[in-house]
Amino acid sequence: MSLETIYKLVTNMLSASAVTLEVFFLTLLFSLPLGLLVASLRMSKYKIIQLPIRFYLLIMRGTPLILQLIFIYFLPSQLGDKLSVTIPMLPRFGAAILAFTLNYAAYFAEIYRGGIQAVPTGQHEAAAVLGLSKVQTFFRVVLPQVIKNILPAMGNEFMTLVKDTALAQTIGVMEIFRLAKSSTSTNSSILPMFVAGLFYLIMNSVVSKGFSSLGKRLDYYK
Amino acid sequence: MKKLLSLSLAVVLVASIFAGCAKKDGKDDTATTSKSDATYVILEEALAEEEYSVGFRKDDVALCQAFEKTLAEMKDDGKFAKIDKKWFGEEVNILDKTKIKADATDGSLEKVKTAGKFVLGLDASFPPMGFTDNDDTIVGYDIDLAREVCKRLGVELVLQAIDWTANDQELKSGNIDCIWNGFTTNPKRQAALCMSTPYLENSQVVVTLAGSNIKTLADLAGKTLTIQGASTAGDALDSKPDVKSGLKGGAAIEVDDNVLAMFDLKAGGSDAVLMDKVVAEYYVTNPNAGK
Amino acid sequence: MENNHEKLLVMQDIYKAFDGTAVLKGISLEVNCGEVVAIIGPSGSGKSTLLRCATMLETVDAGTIRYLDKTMVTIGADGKAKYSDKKQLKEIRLCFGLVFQNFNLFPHFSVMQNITEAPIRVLGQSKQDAEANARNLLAKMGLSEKEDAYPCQLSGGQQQRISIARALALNPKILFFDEPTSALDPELIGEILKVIRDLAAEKMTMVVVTHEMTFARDVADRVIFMDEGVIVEQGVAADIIKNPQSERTRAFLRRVE
Repeated sequence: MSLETIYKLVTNMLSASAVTLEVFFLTLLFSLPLGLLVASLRMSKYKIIQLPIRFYLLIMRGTPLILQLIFIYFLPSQLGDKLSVTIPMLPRFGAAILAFTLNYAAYFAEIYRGGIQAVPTGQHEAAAVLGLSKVQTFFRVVLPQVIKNILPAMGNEFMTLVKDTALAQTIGVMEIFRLAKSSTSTNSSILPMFVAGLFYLIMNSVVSKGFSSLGKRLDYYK
Repeated sequence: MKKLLSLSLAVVLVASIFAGCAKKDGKDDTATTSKSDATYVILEEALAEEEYSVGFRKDDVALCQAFEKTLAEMKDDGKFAKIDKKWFGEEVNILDKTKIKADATDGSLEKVKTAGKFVLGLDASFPPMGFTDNDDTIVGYDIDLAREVCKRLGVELVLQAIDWTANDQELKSGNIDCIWNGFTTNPKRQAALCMSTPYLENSQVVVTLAGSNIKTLADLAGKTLTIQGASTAGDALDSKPDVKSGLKGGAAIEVDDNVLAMFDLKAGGSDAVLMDKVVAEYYVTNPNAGK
Repeated sequence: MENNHEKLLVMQDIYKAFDGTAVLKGISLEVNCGEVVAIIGPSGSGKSTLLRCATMLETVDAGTIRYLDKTMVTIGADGKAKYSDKKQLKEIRLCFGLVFQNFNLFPHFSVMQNITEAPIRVLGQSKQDAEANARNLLAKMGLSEKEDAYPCQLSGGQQQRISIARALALNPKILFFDEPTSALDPELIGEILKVIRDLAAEKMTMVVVTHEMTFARDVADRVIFMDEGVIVEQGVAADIIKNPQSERTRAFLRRVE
């Protein structure tokens, strides 16, 4: 490959990496709070709430993300076809974010649930006796401890998400892996794949570093 | 609210699984007239003219020439024309016997003969050249040709589905012996591979849904165009920078194969697909292909 | 009327069962202002459950509980326990504090935050006021230098003193202790008992579930012996411990001596 093509490749990859980053951050932005909501519904004492949530968790965690992407992207038109109505399609990028969000919220929900259940009942009781409200207890007492509890599992999940963003290309989102694939074939060289690999690696080193420094910051208590 | 949303999505997902099953059973295929019956239209203006070849490793010249020679024999005894008619209804091949040489001395042909098998790499979703039919068998024009050549050379034909974007890596690494799947010849590929004498003409054409307001290449301005990633459709588009820059987003949307591209078009995810004419014509006559 | 005001806590005919197993079988108990009551008895006798019912960590199946003139729970028309409305319960909560066996300090909060959290969030005190008050309490507990420490950096005895300070920071009228020294190494027990003794000297009303007989005898105005969900015997501490009337009390005291 000539220097010029390499230069072009790198600039193209930088712009494609912006898409990858967008998928990553938007997914987190929506799935982290959604996961918390799902976890709280999952822990509801009412079966009528609990059961559909368990079903949702089963679907999301029990089927490949790549299938969910295709389903969510093509479903509206297929369904509209069946019902003879026109259901507007989600734009590719929006469908990708929706699929990633629903999928990751399911994983996050289960991690939250584990983290919440790991907080001793004594903490809830101490807060109750002190007169803290349920909301205060959750946000002031429970959640900070949950965050410490779930940090290692979350770190894993974040790193997986970085790599999973590559699946968005299935429905035509032009992210870094798609670009690498295309230019690999155009240039008959696996260098673009290597560059893409390097990008994921750098991104994940940042994520990993972030989690370990956050872990250190929470090390002040046990 | 979010709960409701995710809930209804889950329900919809399941509903569609059942819907999908119903379709497979063919129970409701005739009931509704809607987008699924939409037919495709090919724009008259083509983006680029192309020819198909078979791609071998750069060093496997003897193997390539043996295949060319066998194809020429098939042309002479009418077998080639028979396969043409089976898939296209008429004789379409353009194999030029005068261009075929037999001067190679490398051991590639012997190697294949000793192994007793010949591995053909294809993406298996490229009708009618090579695709997977409803019985999960890989069939197609190229497959019939390859089967006949292998029969005559006395080796077993092995079909290996590959990820199209990595086709040259597959070839170079020795996982496959040739790429034979509507493989367009061009100078870049001729430099990197041993490309056989072309056997079929093709062009890159734009396919739209019937009733689309895209009638000319100029109408593509501001529209979305889908292509198979890593295919020569991308090269064809690059050769028409004015068309490319006019597209929405200034580039085509790339998906893994033509089946997905057509699916996307039918679903309304894109306005047009740029693809091989040979494949496009197959879709026009078989609008439900690739379902 | 005056007599009524003397009674800080009144519990009448409290019944509580877990999954069909009766744990409290009609307990009645009154605690007067400034009184220190020690509850003793074998494990499983229902002592802790009684405290948990008094502090609303458990709901009673039947019975009446009243703090001063505020009713927490009474018998409804259907014969079952009927709790007062949320607002009333919230007010009642401010009457009492509870010190746990396992301290249950908030591990992610510093000592200062542990003490000031509720006064700021629940009583609406300013941060300055809450901290000034916390410093006084810490001085009283002999832990002034620990305000920036985290619970995990403290000994069990220190943690328990912090949890007492945390409970006191809300100015409760009555303080419950649920086996406050049971989780501590023997050499650390003394420091907690001294704190409770000091509080008794200040006429703090306290109910202490304990296994420390000497402490019960020396500090408590009254000792209650519970067994199998009922109060077997109660009276002036020295009498009960030196001269128990019931055979069950005698048997228990022989075991713990």
